Amino acid sequence: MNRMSEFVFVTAQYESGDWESAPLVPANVIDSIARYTEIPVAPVGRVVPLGSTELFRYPLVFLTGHLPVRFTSDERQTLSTYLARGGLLFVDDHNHDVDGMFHKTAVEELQRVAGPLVKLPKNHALYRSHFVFEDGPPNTSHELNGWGDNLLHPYLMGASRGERLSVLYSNKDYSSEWNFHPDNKRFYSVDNTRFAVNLVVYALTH
Amino acid sequence: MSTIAAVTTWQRRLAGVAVVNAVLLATGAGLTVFAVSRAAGLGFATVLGLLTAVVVMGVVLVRAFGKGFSVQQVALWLEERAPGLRYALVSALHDGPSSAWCAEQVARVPVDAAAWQGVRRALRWPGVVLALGAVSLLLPAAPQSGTRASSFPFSASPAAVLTPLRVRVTAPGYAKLPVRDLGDARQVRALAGSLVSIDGPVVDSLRDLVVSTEGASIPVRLDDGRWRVALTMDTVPRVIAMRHRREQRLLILEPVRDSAPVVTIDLPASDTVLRVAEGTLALRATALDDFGVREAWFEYIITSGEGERFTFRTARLPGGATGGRTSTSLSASLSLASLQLLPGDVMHVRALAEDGSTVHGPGRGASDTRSVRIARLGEYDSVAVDAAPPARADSALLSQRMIINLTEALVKRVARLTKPQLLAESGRLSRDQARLRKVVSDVVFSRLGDNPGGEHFHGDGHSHQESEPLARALTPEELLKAAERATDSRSEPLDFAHDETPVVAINRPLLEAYNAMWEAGRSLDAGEPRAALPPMYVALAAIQKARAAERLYLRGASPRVVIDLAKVRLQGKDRGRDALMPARTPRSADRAVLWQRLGQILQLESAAAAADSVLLLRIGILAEYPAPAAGLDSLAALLREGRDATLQVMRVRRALGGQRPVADSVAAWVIP
Amino acid sequence: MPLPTESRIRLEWGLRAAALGLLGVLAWRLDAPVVAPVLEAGARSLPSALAAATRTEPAALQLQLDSIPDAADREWIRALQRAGTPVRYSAQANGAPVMSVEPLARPGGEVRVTAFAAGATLSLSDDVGPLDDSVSSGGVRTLDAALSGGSQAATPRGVAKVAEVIASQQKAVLVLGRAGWDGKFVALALQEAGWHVESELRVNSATAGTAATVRSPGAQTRIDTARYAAVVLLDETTAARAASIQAFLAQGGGVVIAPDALSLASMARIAPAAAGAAQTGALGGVQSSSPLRGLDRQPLVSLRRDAVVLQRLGAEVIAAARREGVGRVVQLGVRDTWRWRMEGADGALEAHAAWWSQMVGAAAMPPAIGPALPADDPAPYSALVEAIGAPMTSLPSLPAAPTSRNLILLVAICGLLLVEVASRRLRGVS
Repeated sequence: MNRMSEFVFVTAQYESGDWESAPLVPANVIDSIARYTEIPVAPVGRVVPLGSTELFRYPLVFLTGHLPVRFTSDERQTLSTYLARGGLLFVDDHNHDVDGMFHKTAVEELQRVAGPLVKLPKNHALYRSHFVFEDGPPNTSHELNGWGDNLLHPYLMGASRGERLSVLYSNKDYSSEWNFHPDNKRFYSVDNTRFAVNLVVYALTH
Repeated sequence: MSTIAAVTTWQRRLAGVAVVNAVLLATGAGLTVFAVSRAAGLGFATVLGLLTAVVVMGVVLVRAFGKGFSVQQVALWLEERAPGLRYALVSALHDGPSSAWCAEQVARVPVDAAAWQGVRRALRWPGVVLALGAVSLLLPAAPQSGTRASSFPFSASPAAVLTPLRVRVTAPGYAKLPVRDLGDARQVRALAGSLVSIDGPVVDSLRDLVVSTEGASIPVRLDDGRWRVALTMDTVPRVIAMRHRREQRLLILEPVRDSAPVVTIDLPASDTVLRVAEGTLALRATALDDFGVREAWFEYIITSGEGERFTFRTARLPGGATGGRTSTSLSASLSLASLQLLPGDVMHVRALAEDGSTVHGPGRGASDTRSVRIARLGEYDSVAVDAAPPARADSALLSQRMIINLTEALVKRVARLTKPQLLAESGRLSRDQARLRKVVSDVVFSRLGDNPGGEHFHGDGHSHQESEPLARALTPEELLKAAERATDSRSEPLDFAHDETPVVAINRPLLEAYNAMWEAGRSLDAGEPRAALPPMYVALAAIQKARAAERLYLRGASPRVVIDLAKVRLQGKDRGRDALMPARTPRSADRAVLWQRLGQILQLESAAAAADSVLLLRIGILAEYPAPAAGLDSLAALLREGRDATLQVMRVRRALGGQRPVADSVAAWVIP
Repeated sequence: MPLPTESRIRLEWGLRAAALGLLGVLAWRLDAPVVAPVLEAGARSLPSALAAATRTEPAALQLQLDSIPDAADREWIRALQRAGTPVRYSAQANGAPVMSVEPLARPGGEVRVTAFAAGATLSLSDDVGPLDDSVSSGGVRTLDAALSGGSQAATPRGVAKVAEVIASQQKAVLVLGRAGWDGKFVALALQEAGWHVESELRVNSATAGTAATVRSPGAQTRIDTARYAAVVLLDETTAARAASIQAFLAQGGGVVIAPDALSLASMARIAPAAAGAAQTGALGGVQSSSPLRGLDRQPLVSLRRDAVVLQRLGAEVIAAARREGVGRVVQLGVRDTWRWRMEGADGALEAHAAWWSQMVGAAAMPPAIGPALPADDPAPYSALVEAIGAPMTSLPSLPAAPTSRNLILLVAICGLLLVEVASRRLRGVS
């Protein structure tokens, strides 16, 4: 297996905002990929500046944060090309707050780059690409605990190019939900990172 | 006149009558055939008419003269018309002119009158045929192919209602564009929201006139006898179909979208980190719009908090009057003190502008965002200091220059000073140098942990290190290693020049400066200002080098967790399920369909119909295939003008990808 | 002064006798053998010459053809020949066009037009217009195009025509491999190039418990040529399909083998070459004008004798093909081509899709075509030789044919009879 064929979980580093706010998410997702699939995966994640051409080496990129998202011209340009060529950007609102500043600013920026974000139906292939999530995206404990905007967000949003999803946007705060050391998975009756496997498998196949 | 002479005279007259008869019949038949053929739209109506006339004339003449035209026959014809002659003429011809009875009979009976009556009777039907031919000319001619109108004004010509049109475009008020008169246009490109007025020729009634778009009829009204339609340019292309009896005509409406303003922020020139929120931040931006900027302002968002708890404040700052100009500058100043920014707060500033579009709401453009961050106490996660108030690194740079100047001046005065004076002045410079060293050490050691600095400074001229390992003078290399160990636990560095970690790359010059300052300080403490100068120069150069170092966030040093893949793979029990994905259906095959459709269009007989169809095709593909669509526009124009469109067809073919480059060779691998 | 009646009667008898005499001469002349005309028949005069030959039934027909007659004229000449008129002709084979139009194993109904005309300018066109605006100075010309209607290759010496090729719809491509970027982007590229793509991408192997595979609905069925034109094998995870793929090849299908799939013994057996030493792509090469240099490669070595090189990169062979029975196998020597699409310079997306389409097209089973239509005339010179035999290098010179006087005789007879009738009529005798 050559090195380029490995899946590398990449966190986008953008100029504005706290892009590093969920530092354990990459390890957790990598753990789940190794745990539930035979997909070759790199044991550590990478951090890649959103405005850098290095981004094109990684067709799936994770972006999170609490703070307002304002892309620079370089970031906007790189991201636009990245999405056009087949990249998938997964954005998670670490505030899980639809009135929050991250949500407002990130959606504005994403729509500027990728077009309108629309709700994904519950029967979207994303929810069946490996594990089956009949009710759409799994809820997070932060949602259930009433943090953020006190709302359950029963859907994810996305921007598409043709049939292909190019941006996946979540208000569910998976950044908090998955931000723990993978060794602690033994304390969970059901691994709450299984949806991350669906996301990666979807990105690698669709 | 003798009897025989009379018969001979009528022989000539009757030959003439036969010719006249033939001419009348031929003319009448020819005209009739011509008129009928023309009405049927036959292109050779004139030839057919002439041919008919010749044939009829020939047949009639042959029939008239084929039986012979002898004197005896003429005499018999006269006897038939004037029975009172009792065959006197025939007898006279037979017996000779000497017969008195015959002469008496001929003189007694009015032969001429009877004969003329017979002539008139014979010419009656040819006259009717001629009249019929003349009347048949009133039949209307069939319309010619193409857009040529009938040459008969009394015929009902459909083109008279839909041609010519007068198309007028009135742009939306905010665009401040003059009214455009496009004449008899077939395609209208105008700003979305424009009022498009279509005036037709004078009509008696609107009963048979239908104007519609996408199946929905558009109201038509009469204005000074002319029909008129008014509609608004949509944001998507529309085809206006006009129909009056048998004639149809299309008008393509193609909107031009008003682009949103383009905004560029000039000040702050880049992101900034401030030590304290003091002073005034100058804001400046430029906004451009194709029709005019209606409003422009600055917007800032202040984020406070840390971890999972953040609060946000947003506000707008007016950027000044725009005056509706297409290019405008915004400027404002923001008092940082009034914002009550706290350490750790981040302010995002950007400029926004809206145009005056009233069609679908104003178009809004935004500039890049600049962030201004207030550093937390003891936190230095950036060495970038641009625009805005100068940061400590710049202060250090100026102060180091000042200390060098003062030291150089002291060196010049050494000979005139006593030892105590020299030690006192040199000691003051040493304390200044120590302060600067403290600033640099803060920058370098701020990431070592909770301790913001590598040394503790009392300001009394005596300094000591808090940390025992740093108590002794470390070499720059030792300091670098210490900083790197404390800052970044990752073994794999970020990609950086010369395989250095960012910590090393940025800190190395500062640590060099730090070390040089130590040496300079020691010399100054010993009252040896001349010996202090070389390390001071080194420190100055090192600070300049650090200042030029690339700005980089270093806070992204997230905890490094390496997954033991082999171990984890053994733990996984749930292997997931098969999943179905839809087959990938091709898109570009549409191009082949488009090409075939274009081929069918180009084989239409009517150039006008082909041009209309090409325009319809163009509208259909405008969004998805803009390049071929542009080619189709030119193709339609060429077709309508009846010019050679071969090259343009080839261009469209290429744009549709329907042809690959020509090769002057045979492919090596041929299937099957 | 009018003639006396008796004189006129005698004159009329004289006229009748003269007419009869001339009629006899005419009959004698018609019965006499006709000297064969030499018909100098170019493109313009040939139809009239053939019409004349048909009317006059010459002893022989001799044609000097400066261009190749079309199918109708050829049939006419052959009909004259079969009706007993010997036909001799001379014609230049040089410059006579020959063309073929074959449906390509590509989406979008493209065909490959190949035309040949030695030493003549050659232009290709279809029912809509020219296919290219450059004028070839002769030789071979190959063009892949989507045509509208029939097509033709024209030279000053003649026109070769092929009626519209009606082909069946291009079948799908099946992409098999592991869930990964290459699988995703190969399928995406082929889709963008116009192929109907199905895929079966494995997340887990069947041996590790429950298999998890992301597949298109139809991909579970047997791999056969009724559904697929080609199969792309990306890696060794396709081992379970080996037998099915062998059967697919035997049916006439196509297989594209990526480097990582060559580790399967079944694929190595049918591959056009062996895999050479792995090479790392040049740094930054993906963004260069030769992006394949930036990709990791395993050049093809030890090519089989029946292998055809499809693409070289310098001295390296990176794509080759061979026939395996009635099927076709294409082997690739570059891996992780998705990097070309993602990291390449402007236009990389389209270039990547076109490259994969070309490689799959080289293996894929072409669509079936209907029977040739009567309008086909792909090789007019060959058809001419087949119809009326080989041309003569030089025609024998014949004496100039005497001017036919039959028409003059006929006119004279008519004139004599008219005068006779007129004389009688004016005399008053019917």
